[in-house]
Amino acid sequence: MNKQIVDKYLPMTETAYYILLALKKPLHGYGIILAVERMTNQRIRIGAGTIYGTLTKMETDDLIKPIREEDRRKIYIQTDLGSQLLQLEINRLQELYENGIKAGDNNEKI
Amino acid sequence: MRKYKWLLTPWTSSSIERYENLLESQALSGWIIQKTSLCFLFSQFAKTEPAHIRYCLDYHHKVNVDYHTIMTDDGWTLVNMANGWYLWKKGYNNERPSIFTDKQSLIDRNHRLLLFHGIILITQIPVFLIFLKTMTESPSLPWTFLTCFYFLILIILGISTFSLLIVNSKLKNK
Repeated sequence: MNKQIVDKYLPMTETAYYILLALKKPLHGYGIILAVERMTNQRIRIGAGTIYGTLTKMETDDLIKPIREEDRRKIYIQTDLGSQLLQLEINRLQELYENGIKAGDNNEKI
Repeated sequence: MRKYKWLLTPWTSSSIERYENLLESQALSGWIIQKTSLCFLFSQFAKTEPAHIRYCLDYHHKVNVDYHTIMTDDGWTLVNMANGWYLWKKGYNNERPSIFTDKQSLIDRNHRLLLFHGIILITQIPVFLIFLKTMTESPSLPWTFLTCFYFLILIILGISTFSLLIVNSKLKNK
């Protein structure tokens, strides 16, 4: 994978992570805001300006692509590159998580 | 009869938040912004009921069809747009909304602005130098005035570019 893209996006911001994750399914901008709100039990509500800016940036970097337009709303879905990048981030998060749990176990033993 | 007032509301790219907060506090005392002129330098307010309204300024050289739809879907109303600037408003009761919810998108907006500042500075500095040369070679009142005016504009732009760079580096280190 292009090192420039990896350096630009990893580690991912919560916003970028959830937008890319939500786009496993085709969604328009406002649909992403709602999907992320549902996924995080209302913890994260992404602002409209943030969504628009991130979508434009991700489209330029070929992480997502518009598949059609409905009522002046672009419907996006993640590309193969986007999906690979997301998987890299999930692996990174898994390492963080597992090391955290392991350290927790050690503390209990002491 | 409805009461109106005009206010001089000077702001620069690095003091956007102060301008947004000024509009919000005016709305809290019942003065709602109606229109602006000269790229938001003058703002007209109308007297109504006090309200909690959040104002946000965004900047884009160009936007696609999605921009207005995403903003209005999320409940924002466009107050005015000028030279790539978009002023949005949204009433609220509890949590104060914002169009940007992470620091990266604020940094990105400031980057778009810096690019714009850069283009103006690069294209206008040669014009200023030509003015300066003409003024020194054949001094006359209009040329002196024009050169001084240009100098002032470039200084303001320079200061605002510089403080925008500082704002962005602070945001990055936060």
